[in-house]
Amino acid sequence: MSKKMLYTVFAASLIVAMILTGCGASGTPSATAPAVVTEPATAPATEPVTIEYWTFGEFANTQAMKDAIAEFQAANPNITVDVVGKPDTEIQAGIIAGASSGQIPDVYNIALNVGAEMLKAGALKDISAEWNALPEDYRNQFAPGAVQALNQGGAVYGIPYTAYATVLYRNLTVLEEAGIDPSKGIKDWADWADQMSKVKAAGYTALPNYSVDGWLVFHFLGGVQGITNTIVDGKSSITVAQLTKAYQFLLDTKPFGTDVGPFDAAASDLFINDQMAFYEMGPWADTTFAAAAETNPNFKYDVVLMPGEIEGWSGGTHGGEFFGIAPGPNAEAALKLAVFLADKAQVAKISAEFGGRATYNDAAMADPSLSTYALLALTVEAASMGLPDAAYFQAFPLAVRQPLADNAAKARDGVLTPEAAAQAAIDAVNAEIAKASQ
Amino acid sequence: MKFLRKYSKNYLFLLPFFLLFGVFFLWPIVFGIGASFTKWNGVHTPSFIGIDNYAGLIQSPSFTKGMHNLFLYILIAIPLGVFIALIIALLVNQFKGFWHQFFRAAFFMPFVIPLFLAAAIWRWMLTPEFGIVNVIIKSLGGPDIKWLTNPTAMLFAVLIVDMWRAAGFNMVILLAGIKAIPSEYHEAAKVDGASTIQQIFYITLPLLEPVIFLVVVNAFISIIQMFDVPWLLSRADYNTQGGPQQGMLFPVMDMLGTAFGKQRYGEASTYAVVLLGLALLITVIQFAIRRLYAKR
Repeated sequence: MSKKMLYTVFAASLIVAMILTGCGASGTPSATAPAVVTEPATAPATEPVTIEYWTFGEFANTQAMKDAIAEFQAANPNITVDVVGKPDTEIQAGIIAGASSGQIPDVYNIALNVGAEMLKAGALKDISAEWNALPEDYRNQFAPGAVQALNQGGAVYGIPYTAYATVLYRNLTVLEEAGIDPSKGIKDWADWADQMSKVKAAGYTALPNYSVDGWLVFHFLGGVQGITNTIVDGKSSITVAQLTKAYQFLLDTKPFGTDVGPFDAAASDLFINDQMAFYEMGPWADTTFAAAAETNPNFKYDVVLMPGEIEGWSGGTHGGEFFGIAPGPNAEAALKLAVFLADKAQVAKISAEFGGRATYNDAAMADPSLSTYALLALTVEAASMGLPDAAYFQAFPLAVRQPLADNAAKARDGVLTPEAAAQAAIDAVNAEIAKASQ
Repeated sequence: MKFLRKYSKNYLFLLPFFLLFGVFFLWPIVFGIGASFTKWNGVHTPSFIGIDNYAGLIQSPSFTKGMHNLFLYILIAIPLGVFIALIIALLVNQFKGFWHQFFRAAFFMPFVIPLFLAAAIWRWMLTPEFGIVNVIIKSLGGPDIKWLTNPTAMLFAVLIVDMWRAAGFNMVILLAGIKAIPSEYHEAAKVDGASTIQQIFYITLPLLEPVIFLVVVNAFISIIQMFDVPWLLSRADYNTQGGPQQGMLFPVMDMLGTAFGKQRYGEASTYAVVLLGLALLITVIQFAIRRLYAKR
C-alpha cells in the first residue's frame, strides 16, 4: 500500500470515528432521564460548604443583597455563598450548557416562563418535602398563584421571588391638550380607542406599535376577558376568537398610533417630550420617566392599570422569577439560602432598593415601609389580572412569541384579516407546543 | 525509517498547530455533522434519527424564509457592495499624500465602530416617521418608509447598514490591488492619449480582476454567515428572530434560535451542515467559472 493511500485511509478512519462519536452512545439512549440523575448524600450540616448562587446582575449589585448574604453567612458560619450576577438569558443558557456535565449552580434565580426548560435539563430539585416542612406562616407569605405555578403534580420546584406586571403610563399634558380628563380613567377598550382618536385629532400620537413582538401582543391579549395561558390536551388555551379580539383592537387603533415599537428609544422620547399619550410597559420604564420628570418639571405622567376589553377586566401581562435549587450534595445549604432570601424581611429591602420592585411575597408587599411606592401597589394589583407570560412548567416554548408577532403584523398591515391572522398564529403556536412536547 | 529520521523534527514542530486545529476546528465540524443525524437537546444522550432533521428543516417555514431572505440579499448586496467599494477605491486612489490617508481612514472607520453601537444608532435613524433617514426622505417628497416593520424595507435596512460597514473594508482590499498595478501601464496609456475612464476600464479593472474575485468570494461567504447586523437591527433574542414577519431573518439567526432558544441542537447542527455545504458549493462554482473564464 503506498504512503498516500495509507495516509488517506488513516484520515478517513479518523473522520468516521469522530462522526460516529457525534452520533451519540450506543445502546438504548435515555431520552427522558435528566442528565443530573443521582443525588449524592447531602453534606452533613456542620461541614463547611460553598454554594454557588446565580442571580440577575442588577440584584447581585444591590446593597440589600450584599447585606443579606453577609447576614446569612453570619448565621450559618459553615456556609459560604458565592454570588454570581448574570443577565437572565445567560443564566438560562449557562444552566442548559452545564446541565449535561452536572456543572450548574446550587441555587439560582430564573424566570417562571423557562421553568419547563430547567426541569427538562434536570436542573430543578423537587423540594416538596422541604417546602411542606416549612412553617405555615412562612409558606403563607407568598402569592397563591405563584405557589401554585411552582407546584406541578405534587412536586414543588422552587420558591417564589420577584414579579412584574405591565401597566399603562399616561402623559397627562397630552391628554389635557386632547381634551381628556385623566381623572376619569379608562373604562374599557372602546373608551380607550375613543381617547386615542381624540389624541390623534389634537395632533399627537396615541401609542407605540405593539405588534412588533410577541410578548407585546400578550399585553393586549391579557385584556380579553377570561383569557388564560395553559396547555390543554397539548394545545394552548388561547383561542382563535380571543386572539382575534386582540388583533382587531391593534388594527382598530393603528390609525391613532405610530409604527415605532415601544422598545425603541424613539417611543420613550415621544412620551417624554409630550408627543405621545400612552405607553404600556413594565414598571422598569418608570425609572426613565421619573428621571425625565426630575429634569423637566413640565413633564407630567401617571400610571394606571392596562384597560381590558370590558370594564373591570384589566389587561397586560405578568410574570416573575423564582429560586431554583439544583439537585446535588449542596441542595440542603442552597435551599436554606433560598428560604432566607425569599423571606419577607429580605424581599422588602430588595424591593425598596429598586424603588418598589414587585415580588410574589404578599407579606413583604404589604409592609408599611413599601407603602410609599404607589407603582408597587399598582403592579401588585396588575399581577393579579392580565395574562401570565407563559404556561408555566408546561411545554410552552417562548418561541411561540414569533408567530404571535408575525401574524399581529400581518393583521395590522392588512395582509390578513384579524381572524385569519389569529388562526395562523394559533396553528403555529400549537405546532411549536407539539414539537416541544416530543 | 529514513522518512521519519529526516522529517520527524519538522512534524514535531507542526504538531501543536495540528492539535489545536483538530480540536477547535476539525472536531466541531465532524461532531456537528454527526449531531445533525440525531435528536439532541444538549442535555440528554443524543438519539440517532437518520435524515429526519434534514427532512424537517426543508419543510420548516423559518428555514424557507431565512433562505429566501439570504438569496435575495445575495442578488442585491454582492453586485452593489463590490460596485460601491470599487468606486470608493478608485476615488480614493485619485488623492495623494494626506488626503489619500484621510479618506482611506474615513471610509474604513465604520468597520471599526463597535457593531452594537452602530446598530443602535442606525435603528434610531431608521425609526419610522421620526428617524432622520425618513425625515430626509419625506423632505425630498418621498414616502415614510417602514424600515423596521415592513419585510421588504427591512431587508434594505440590513443592506444599508451592512454596505455602510463593509464598503470600507472591501475598499481597502481593492485599493491595495490598485496600488499593486505597475504605474508604467498608466503612464504608457497617458502618453497614448487614454483618458482616466479609459485607463480604468482597459487597465485597472482587468488587472484588478483577481482582487475583485477575492472580494466577491469573501462577500459570498460573509453573507451566508450574515448574523450580527440583522440580529442587532431586529432586536432579536434566542426566542424570536428577524423582527415583524421575520423580515430580517437569516439562516444563522434561525440556527442560533433553534439551538439556544428551542434546545434542538440536532436540528441546529443540520442547519450548520446545510450552510457549510452551501458555502462550499458556491465557492467551488465560483472557482470553476473563473477557471473557465481564464481558459477563454
